[in-house]
Amino acid sequence: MTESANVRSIDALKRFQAAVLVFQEDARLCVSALEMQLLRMIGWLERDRPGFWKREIETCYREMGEARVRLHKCRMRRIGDFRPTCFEEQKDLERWKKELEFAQKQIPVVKYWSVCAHHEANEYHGRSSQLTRAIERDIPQLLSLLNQAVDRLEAYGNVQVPGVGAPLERVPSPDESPSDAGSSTEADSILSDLSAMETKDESEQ
Amino acid sequence: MKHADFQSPAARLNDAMKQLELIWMETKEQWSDSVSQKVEDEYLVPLSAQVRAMLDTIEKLSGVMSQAERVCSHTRERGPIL
Repeated sequence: MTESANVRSIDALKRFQAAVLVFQEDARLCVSALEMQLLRMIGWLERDRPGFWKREIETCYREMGEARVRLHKCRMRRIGDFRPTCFEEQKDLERWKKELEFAQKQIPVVKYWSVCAHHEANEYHGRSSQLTRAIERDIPQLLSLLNQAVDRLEAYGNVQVPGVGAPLERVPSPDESPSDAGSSTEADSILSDLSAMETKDESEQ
Repeated sequence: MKHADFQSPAARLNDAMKQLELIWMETKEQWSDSVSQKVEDEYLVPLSAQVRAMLDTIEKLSGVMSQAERVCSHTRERGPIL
């Protein structure tokens, strides 16, 4: 024997139905925003960075060349017996050498992080596809179940119970007396439909 | 400059799930039968687990991407993180 429905407020079901729809929309937007951020980051690593560090290497070579010329000019400068230390020029050249070394090391570093980012993106896509499936398949199923429940309860509530004269608010449990629940055949049929709904859904799965 | 923000959408997803769970708690006070049990067991519990797993994955992804961004940027590009 199937258990009867126990719903004190159809409005509560409707509120939940609306909340499920809001969640579905929010979740879609979040997944879409995350995908956009991921594409942006992968694009930055794959397209922006290699070019950026190549340009940095070129800049460093150019600056190093200019620093060498300045150092050479400085060393050539003599005022009597005085020879300038050329400390600043030497320091500048050393700085550009270090910058060049760093920029050159960044090329394989960017490649390494691109691979890591792809690996993480794949893991993320595995997970997000599961959530997307839930959003696009399970939530519509849930909404359909809620729709059926609301429709049946509303249909049941609209049945005029003899001697009461108002729609029912609550579906009675089987242990209530027939006079409490009304003896309408139509009402019984709807109640039976609602109870059978679960059995039908289970058998469909 | 921050190139990717994974935390904001993750926070919105978390909020959306919390809100749904909150409304479900209220709904359960008005609806308690085998169908409501089915809604919880077959839809809401798995959905909540999916969202939690997704949030964990996003956190890991965000950590890796932040590190990638930091390591692959030039020091002069590293402004205040938005």
